[in-house]
Amino acid sequence: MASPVHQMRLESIVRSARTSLVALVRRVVDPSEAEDVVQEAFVRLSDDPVLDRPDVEVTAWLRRTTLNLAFNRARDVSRWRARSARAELPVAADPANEAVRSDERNAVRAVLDRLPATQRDCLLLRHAGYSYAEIAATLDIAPGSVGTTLARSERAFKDLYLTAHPADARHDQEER
Amino acid sequence: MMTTMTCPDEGTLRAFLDRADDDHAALAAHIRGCLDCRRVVRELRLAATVTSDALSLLAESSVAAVRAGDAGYELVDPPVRTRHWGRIASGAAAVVLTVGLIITPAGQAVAGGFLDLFHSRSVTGVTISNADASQVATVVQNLGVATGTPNPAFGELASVADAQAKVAFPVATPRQSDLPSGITVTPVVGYLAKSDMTVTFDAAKTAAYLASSGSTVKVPAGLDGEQLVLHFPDAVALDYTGAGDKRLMVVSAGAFVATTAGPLDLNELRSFLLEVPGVPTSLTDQLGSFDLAAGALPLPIPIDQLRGTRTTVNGHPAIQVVSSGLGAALVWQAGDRLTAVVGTYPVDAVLKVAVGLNG
Repeated sequence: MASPVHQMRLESIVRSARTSLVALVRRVVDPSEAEDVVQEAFVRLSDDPVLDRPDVEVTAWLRRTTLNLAFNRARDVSRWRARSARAELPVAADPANEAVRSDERNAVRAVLDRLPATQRDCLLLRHAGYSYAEIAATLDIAPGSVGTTLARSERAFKDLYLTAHPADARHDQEER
Repeated sequence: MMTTMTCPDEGTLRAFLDRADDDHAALAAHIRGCLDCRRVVRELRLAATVTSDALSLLAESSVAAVRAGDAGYELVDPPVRTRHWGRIASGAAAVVLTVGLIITPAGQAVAGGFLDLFHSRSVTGVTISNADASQVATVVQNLGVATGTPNPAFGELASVADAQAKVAFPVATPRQSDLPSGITVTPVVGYLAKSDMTVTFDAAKTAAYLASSGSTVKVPAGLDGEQLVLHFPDAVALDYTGAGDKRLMVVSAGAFVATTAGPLDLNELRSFLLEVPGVPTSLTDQLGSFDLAAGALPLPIPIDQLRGTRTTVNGHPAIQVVSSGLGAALVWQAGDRLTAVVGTYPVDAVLKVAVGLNG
């Protein structure tokens, strides 16, 4: 059983971190899953010794844990969909458009999921607007190596993504 | 000019692109004169752009999450409800707040959502692209610090009367007889509170940015600590649901105004901002064309740049966007009210609602 002090700290962290974590995780899983994933991370946090560490370490731990849980969840969902006829059912009000967008999002997530976890999380954090210092803390790497990790991650992503999406390769051509 | 600095590694060059490096001016000077580094920077920028474009597809679904999170711990966000308001947020807020919104990540997501509403990839789009939006955000980060976030969250109100009590402009309300048949007569009413965002300029940061861009523009005296305050208007969205999940939204919003708080007046600040390298011409064209005699800058909504058809609604210039298989939208500004009608109906049905609106 957590002490009252622990409990207060946990509640304060939940209050301050929840919104940004949900926004981050919604890049990885469907809206209906995101709240649940973040909640699971908070539950894990309540039993984790990191709760005794300074705030910056706790939030870094939370981001890392939440992203891992989210990608695990996304994998479970896609496996389930692959086995289920429900995957074929349109669910949106404007099925054609929403289905296309959903496919595009899933394609991006699939490419991300093929990258090593550090690269994958680095890209998500960077493009969700986190600073280099926050990315370093989350990935547990030196602040000075964020640029290198980011450069490698973006190159790896670009190569995989353009292979999977030849239509976007003209982007590549135009830039050269 | 060649420099004697050793070529930095690619991590440093990547950080340079984000201005997260330690000595930006020195690096910029080196890169200007070094063909090898210029090639590496080009490749890094390409990979960053491809990645950023792809990941922006994921951002759109995160906008509504901010709202869900704000609502509290216990909130269970039913997917249908999220989608409902998420759509309104993406459609309405972006129409209303376009220019100001795009300088924040949340705003970019909202603006992106708006474009998505018209399925910009295949049919239509606007010339304020994601790339331009990111560029504005980058420039702002290089000139100072932005605080405050445009409110992305529509809250639900009980009635149109409740919404009218909160806003200064007449809420655009359709006549029942103009609504497509089979649609709900009572709309769900959404209200977006007004909010401010402040950019506080930093002279040293600005000088470093200008130098690194090779610009000869001088930092104006008095810029340090000068604040540009963007006042985002409140907005009201009426959301009607028809048979077969059809949707019709009528959105109205107040004026979007910018003011300064500091020694510089808007004219001086504008003259400077127009010269800052990196600001997309899509924005400078608009900023440059405004009469500032009134002392406040009513920022233009770039509806002209929606790649749609020019038309009029009750004599006011309007833009009509039609997306085959998706629906139609009309956007226009009359006086201090910006209005949009968006629906998954044929354009004639949307136009009928638009011309019949009050105010």
